[in-house]
Amino acid sequence: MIAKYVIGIDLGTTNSVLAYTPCDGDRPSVELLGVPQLVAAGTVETRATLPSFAYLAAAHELGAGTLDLPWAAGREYAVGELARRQAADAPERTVGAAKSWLCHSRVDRHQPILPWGASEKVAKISPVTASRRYLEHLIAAWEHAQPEAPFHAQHVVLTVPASFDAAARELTREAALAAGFPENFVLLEEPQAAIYAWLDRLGDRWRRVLRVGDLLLVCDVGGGTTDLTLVGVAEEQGDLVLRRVAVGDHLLVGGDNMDLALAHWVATQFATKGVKLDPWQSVALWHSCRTAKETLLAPAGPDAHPIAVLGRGSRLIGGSISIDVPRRQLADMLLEGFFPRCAANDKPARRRVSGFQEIGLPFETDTAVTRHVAAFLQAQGSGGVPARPSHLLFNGGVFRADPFRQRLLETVADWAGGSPPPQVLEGEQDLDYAVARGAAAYGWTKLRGGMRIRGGTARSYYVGIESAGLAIPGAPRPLRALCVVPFGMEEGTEANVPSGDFGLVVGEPAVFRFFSSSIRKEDKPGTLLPAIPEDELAETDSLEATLPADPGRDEHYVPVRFEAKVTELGMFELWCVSTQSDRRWKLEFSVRASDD
Amino acid sequence: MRLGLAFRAFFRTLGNADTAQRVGLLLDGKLAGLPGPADSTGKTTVTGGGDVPSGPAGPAGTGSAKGGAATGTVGGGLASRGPKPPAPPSRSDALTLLAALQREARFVDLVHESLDGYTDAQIGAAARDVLRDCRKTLDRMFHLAPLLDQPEASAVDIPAGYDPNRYRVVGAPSEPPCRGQLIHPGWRATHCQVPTWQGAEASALVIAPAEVEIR
Repeated sequence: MIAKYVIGIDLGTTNSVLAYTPCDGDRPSVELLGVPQLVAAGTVETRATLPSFAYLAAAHELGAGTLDLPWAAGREYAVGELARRQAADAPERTVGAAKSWLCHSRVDRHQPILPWGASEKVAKISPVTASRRYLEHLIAAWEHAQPEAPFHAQHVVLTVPASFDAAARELTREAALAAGFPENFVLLEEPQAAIYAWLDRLGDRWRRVLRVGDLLLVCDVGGGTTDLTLVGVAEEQGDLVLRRVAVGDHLLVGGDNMDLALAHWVATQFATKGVKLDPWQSVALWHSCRTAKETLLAPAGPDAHPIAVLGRGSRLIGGSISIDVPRRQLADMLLEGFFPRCAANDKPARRRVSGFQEIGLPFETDTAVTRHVAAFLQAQGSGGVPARPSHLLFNGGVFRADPFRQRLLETVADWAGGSPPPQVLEGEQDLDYAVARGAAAYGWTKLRGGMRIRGGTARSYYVGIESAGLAIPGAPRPLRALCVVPFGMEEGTEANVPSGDFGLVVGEPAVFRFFSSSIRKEDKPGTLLPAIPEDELAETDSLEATLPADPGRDEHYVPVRFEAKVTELGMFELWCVSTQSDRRWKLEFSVRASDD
Repeated sequence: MRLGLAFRAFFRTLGNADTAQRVGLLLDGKLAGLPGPADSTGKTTVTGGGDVPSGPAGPAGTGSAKGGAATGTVGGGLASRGPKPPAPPSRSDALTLLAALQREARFVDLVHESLDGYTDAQIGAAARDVLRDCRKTLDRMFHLAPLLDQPEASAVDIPAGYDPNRYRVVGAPSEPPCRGQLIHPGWRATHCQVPTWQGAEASALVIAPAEVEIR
């Protein structure tokens, strides 16, 4: 069957969106798909976004058709708006932020661990399963709307955070394939998708906006995460090209932190009036705070905004309590807490290291987005001079509030020294849907030709090699790091890793520790680091392969070398190649809890 | 002139059974010596009845006048409604909309609460949130927009043969085409997507479930 559409899917931490465009036509014509979903028991409504939440219902809740969808009956779980609302009333049964768990290598993401901390009574699900269910829902919504164009026969682009490492991408791909994605679907980094959305909006005019040597900083602050990317403008054969030059680390700080900070402040104000809020009211308060934030921070917003918590029973007015939030106080709290002015050489406060750290999600200790941006630009600079972006592209719902855009722009401009301050990329900002739209536009471009952002891998990757030598009791063998994938390795290329031979024991799983770096851009395949530089390399999931014993050969180990490959679809593969025969084995991520 | 006649017809119909019967026949076009009911005849009666602002009998009168008009013209279908539609929805969309407004904005709670004993400030504090969420809900389902894009108080041309569902011409109307001043630009839905409900028949009238907390 021939594909009729290119489908772009933004699988977000808090919201997922599906956009599509017909394959034909002179340019992409991107639309959003309305997603039917449960908004209350037995009630289905079509909305533009699917909240990335899953509600695992208890048996007694399942009445006739309670969780039915137009395409499914007898469900015991619900995803979308109903699930999001349940987060207030039944947090024990509500799964949220599955995506943040996907890239958290200290837990086994195939094990049923969500909702995190829920009791034994709840049949928990794994982060991979949760992601699969959101995607399954989007696929079903698509096929419901376009029965003549089956999903698996279309061109599909799925976005992931640029900061996702190879293991998190592999898990996302696994969830997508299990949900029913076509084998040849493509992964695209979210900040790049935001740029494609911008390019699509401008058409050919972008060539007049950008010049050779420009540097774009994409700052994507969503509900739960912050994702940073630098894209450079270069010239190739007389034509402008965009090249993604760096991505930031996965930062767990976003708009939800702001609303929570405000809600916390308001709750303490209520407490001084002797009012204690129940959990339901606390969540209602959280939503009111989000509105208050957007109202007060809007251009020419009011000087104060009342925040009320409505009575829980049917007596609404009598049970309501309200306080006024002054604009000044709110701006101080949020701007200084999340976008403080800082120097170009500031660094985020380091995580307090304690022996008894809770395993939950590793939220950032320092909520100052500006300091994370400063650290990112320092790491990408050269000769002690931080990188200096010439343009800023904002993405994510947080930037609906103009003061945040202004503050970040001013702060980055302060760092520019004598050079001209950065400009915001013009064009109407579509902060909530840009990633899905950009993904669809990118898919169309890939198919039909047009401007593509060059990038390759966003990190360099290393395999840990234990040094040989006499063992010292009580001391681990020193570990060296062998570079197997250089920074910027392009899709559809392979690299042989020059090295000595490694002996793989036959019949036993061989496990390699695996590291990545977003900073070390000069290392080539085969570069051997004598020790692990802890501030430059981050350990991710280990890799393993088991070599089956070959009955025809009498051998205990096989000498191998490594071969790295980045597929056309953006997936990373590492192979062990025998140096004595033509046999080869693919290393797989062993995605399970590491020892610490 | 026609308005006066309509008033007279209205009150006489209301007060005199004989007149009522004759008006009924007239509207049905069965009164000898008169041409059949032109559309305008029926309309005048209805409008006259509807616009009468006085008297406790107003609503009842409107009803009977409309009923009379209906039998002869559009309403034929109403009187002789044939077989039921094949698959009646398990509940009215209106209830589903009301349930959505209660769920998302607590609309029913607000309009159903007695305002006695509350200060305006208390009512305002609660209403602010409810109204905000009502608007969000209605905007999402209906994408509400003004029917006319012009600002209020600007001049509007009423074409001949205009659609009375789009324009309500008030004041001292002359025969269109004519020109007037825009008092209210009207509203329209640019989209209509009310949730669908698929629960059991027994709970079709539930607008909000009772909430019970287990401690």
